This record gives sequence, structure tokens and C-alpha cells, in this order.
Amino acid sequence: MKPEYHGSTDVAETGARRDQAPCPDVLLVGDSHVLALHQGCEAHGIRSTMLKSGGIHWNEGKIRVFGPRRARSPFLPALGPSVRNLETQLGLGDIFDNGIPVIASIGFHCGHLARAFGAEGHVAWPPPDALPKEDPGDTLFASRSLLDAFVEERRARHFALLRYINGKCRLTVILPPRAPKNAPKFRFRHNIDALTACIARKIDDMGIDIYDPNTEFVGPDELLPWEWVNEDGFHGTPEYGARAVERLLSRGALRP
Amino acid sequence: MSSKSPYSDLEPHAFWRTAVADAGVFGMGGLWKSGWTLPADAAFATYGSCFAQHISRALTARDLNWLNCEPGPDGMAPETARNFNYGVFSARTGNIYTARLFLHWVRLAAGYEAPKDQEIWHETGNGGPGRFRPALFPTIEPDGFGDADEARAAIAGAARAFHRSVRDADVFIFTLGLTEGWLNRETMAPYALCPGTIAGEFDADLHVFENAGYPAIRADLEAALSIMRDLNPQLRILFTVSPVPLTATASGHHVLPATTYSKSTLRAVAGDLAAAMDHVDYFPSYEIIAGTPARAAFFAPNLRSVEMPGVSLVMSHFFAGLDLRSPAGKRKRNRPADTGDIEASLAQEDLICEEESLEASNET
Repeated sequence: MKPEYHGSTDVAETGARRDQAPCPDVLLVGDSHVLALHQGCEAHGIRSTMLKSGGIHWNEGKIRVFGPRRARSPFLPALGPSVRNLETQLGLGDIFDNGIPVIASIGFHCGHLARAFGAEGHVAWPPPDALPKEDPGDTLFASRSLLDAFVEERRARHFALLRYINGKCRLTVILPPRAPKNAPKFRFRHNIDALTACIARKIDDMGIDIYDPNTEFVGPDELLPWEWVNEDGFHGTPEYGARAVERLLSRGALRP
Repeated sequence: MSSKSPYSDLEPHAFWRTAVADAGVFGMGGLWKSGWTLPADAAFATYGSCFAQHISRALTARDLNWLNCEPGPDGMAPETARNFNYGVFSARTGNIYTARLFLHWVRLAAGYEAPKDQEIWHETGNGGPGRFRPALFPTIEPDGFGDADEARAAIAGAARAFHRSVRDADVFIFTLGLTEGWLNRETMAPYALCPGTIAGEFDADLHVFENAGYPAIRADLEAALSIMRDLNPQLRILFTVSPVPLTATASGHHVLPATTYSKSTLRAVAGDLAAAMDHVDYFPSYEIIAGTPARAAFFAPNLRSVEMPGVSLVMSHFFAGLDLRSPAGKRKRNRPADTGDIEASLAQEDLICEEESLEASNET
């Protein structure tokens, strides 16, 4: 059932008129990919609040998660002012305390991760078809266990934050669009996909709902069509966002 | 007829009293002097028994050019990387204790052995598909591998990295560890460790013990050196013998004389090869730690593990004897071919992220 239209807000706006700002229907938390979801919410008349900061900030390892009895929001320095505005608007010490459902794009942004992972020539096992297995040159195959350990190490804080949010309210983590931008760099693309799948598996293992729009829209191992991707080559269009939100609605992800 | 004896004009280092007894273990000098004048950026490859791990660490700590031809992923914590045996030896071979296993790795690196033919142990349990461990290095990853293909890919990767290290090294340092080892009776392929000890299952019909003697060890090492020099005709090989005693012996003898047999045989072969070939040398790490001047002081209370002061002393003699006076060759580090494209792509994404950060600041 389509929810009643409430309009959409972002945190800057709520900061400016916090007294009368209505409570959002959903919090969109994470990297730049939440913008398409925000646009998707607008299209469906869902009031959403974004807590958005570039993926590089999420990757800096500065995420702070407080103890479960500490009534204080988890904290990403780049989002500090936005989080405080929302705390004030909601009248809560912790923005996740009133049960507003959360859609998160956190922990992925795997370009930088893939660059580090592959900087010495590593390719996640099993290798892509484009890479000759018998004579792969200087390629170093990285086992699934190694990839797993690498992700555990580099995403520990992201996972801790997701566990924290999941303990407080309904949380769905959404995978980023599998955009065609880096497809020609097949080793890089392959490692991005392997890291993304590994992160998704770990989030799923934590008992957190995870949603992969790519598989649903175009099938496993396929790339999103260009018409659903912005000119920058890796962010989803408003149409993509609307389709993703539609699916999230049907999964009940936006119900408190 | 001369009144002088051949000992009359010898240097003080030739006499036990002046060179050892009076000098004491920390005062001994000139224990080793390399006959090779190497470039300042000489590349070193290191392999062998567990004691060889100290050499790579010391070379790295001195900012010398230690070849790491199979590094872990960039930015991985050193302890995690070491857990997966990255950064321990120049390729991820794990410990190579015997001359037979050393030759096997050289043959793999040169393509005389195929990764697909290497034995893989399958561990079953808990109803799952189980884990797969290569018999050549069963503990190279803490939990083994997900399937046999992945395990063989790890062997192939290590073999290619071993090849690169031989090709690119100026000096290949190999630390000999043991004479005792285990072979597959059917293929005569060596095992890294006795099946059934840490991994695998022991089969008395299939697994055969070998305590290699001087002739066999020398033949294996000569074969290995010959192949390596085919890959890199300029390669120099520096042997050392690990001072770490045997944990256990399967020879039937007491472990103390078994250790003496093992170490003295390896020492004799290494010394003779060094005497016979200009491109081979021997460095006396065994003597520094296990010799009488040290009075076993460098061993831990288990009288087996070598404590760090001993390692430091060994390495100080090593660096004191090294001659790096030739001009550096200005070596370049190779990065994957697609590095530039990836950097450009990420720079574009970062620019967008930076713009978002400005936008976030504007919201305050």
C-alpha cells in the first residue's frame, strides 16, 4: 500500500525550521547513493531524511558507535551537524531511538577498497573469465578467506554501526547500483563485485535485511543499463531510485 | 728450510684464543665477509626454514631491497597478512625445511612440475564441503581453501612469485633447516611436514620417511642451483643453516645426536658448495647461535627457540660482512598495468565526494 504523501526533507531544511518539521517516515543513511533513494521517496510521496556523506568519509574509519546504554547517536564526523539537527528535531539523544525505519547504503563504496585490494595485483578467487587462469602473468589470486579477512578488517566499524542501528530499529541495507562505468577495467570491476558480495554476505550473516536491486532489476552478474545511471557513471538516476523504493516498499522495509 | 710454521703469520681471527675465547661472543669480528661487491640497491630473496623469517625482517628494517614477490593486499594489517603468510618469504611458500622440498619449489617455479599435479588434502567434517589444504604448504592459510582449484591456484601463484624472485634477485638467501622429511611413496614428492601432525592424515603405506644424507642433499641443492642459474645467470646464492634444533626425530636416534647429524650434514654441504662455486657463499648463523661462545645463551628456556638478542647478533654480523659498494641500478617497482586507469576513475569519484562534503558543510 502506498503511504500517505508527506513531502521530503533533508537535514539542512529541518535545521532551519526544526520547530515545525514533521517526523520523517524513513531515514536514509550512508554514502552518495542515498540521493537516488531520496528522490525515489519523493516520487512515492514518502517523507525521508537523508544523512548523507561521501563514501570517502565513511571509509576513513572514523565512525564511532557508542555502548547500547548510551543515549547518543552513532557519529560520523562529516555528518555531525546533520545528526545534531535531527536529534533536536526528533527530541532524542539518539536518532535511532524512535523506531523510524532506516535504509542504509553503508559499508560498500568499494572502489577504494578494490583499489587497495588489487594494488599489488590481487584478483579475488574465482577469477573473471577474461583473465587466463593458466598464464595470468603477475596476477596474485586472493583466496576467499583472504578477501573475507580483508573485509572484516576494513569494514569492522561499518558493521558495528549497522549492528547498532539494527538493534534499535528496522534496518535494510541496500547495495549500490552495479553501474557500467568500470566494466572495461575487468580486474577492478571483478574485485569490486567480489568485495561487494562479501560485505553483503557478512551483513546478511549479522541478521540484517539486505536488498540487492541489481539482481532484481537486471539479474545476477549483469550491469544496470546506462539509462538508470547518472552521467557520472556510477550513481543511480531518480528513476532507478523510484524503482528501488517501490521494491523496498513491497518488502515492507519502510514499515516501522 | 724455513723456521716459520704455517701458523706463524696467520691473522688473530685464525686462533681460537684471540678470535673467540678472549673476544667473547659479542666481541667476535670478521666472522663473515662477503666476496661479492653488490649494488647499493641489491635485491635479496629469502626462503628456507623458520629461522629465515628473521632475515627478511632484518633486511626490511634496514630499508634494504628485500624482494616481496607475493605481497598481501595493500593496507592489510601486518598481523593479518602474516596470518596468511604474506611478507614472510619472498614468495608465499611457507617454511622450506629440506633440500628436497627446496628443489621441488624450484622445479615448480621453472615449470618442471605442474601445480595441477600437486597433492591436496581434503578435510571433511561438520557435514559441509570441508576444507582443502595443499600438501606443499598445508598451513599457508589459517583455514585452508574452499576447494581444490583454489588450493592449486595458491600453489601456482606462489610458484610464479618464486620464479619472479629468482629472476629479479641479486642474492638468493636460503636457510637450510632439516635433513629429515617425508615423501609420498608413489610420486616421491616431498611434504612440507609429516602428514597427520598439523594437517592431513598419516598413511604408513603411502608416507615414507627420509633422513637425507650428504650426497642426496648436495645433489638436490646442485640441481636447484643449476635451474635457478638458468633462470637468472647472474644469481648468487647464500646458504645459511638454521640453529634451531629438531622438534622431534623419526630417525630412531635420540633427538640430540639426530640434531647434530642434521645440522652438521647441512653445514658440510653448504660449506662445500660455497667452496666449489664462486656464485655460492655460506653465512655462519648456525655457529653464532649454537657455537660454544654463546653457551646456549641465545636459546629460550626450551633450548630450541632463538631469542631476539641472538637474532640481532646474527644479523649484525650479516650486515657487517655485506659489501654494497657498487652503484645502485635504479630499480623500478612494477605495479599492475591498470593502476593508472583505476586511479583516474577514483579521482573522479572522489571529486564528487568532495563536492558532497562541501554541501554537507553548507548545511551547518
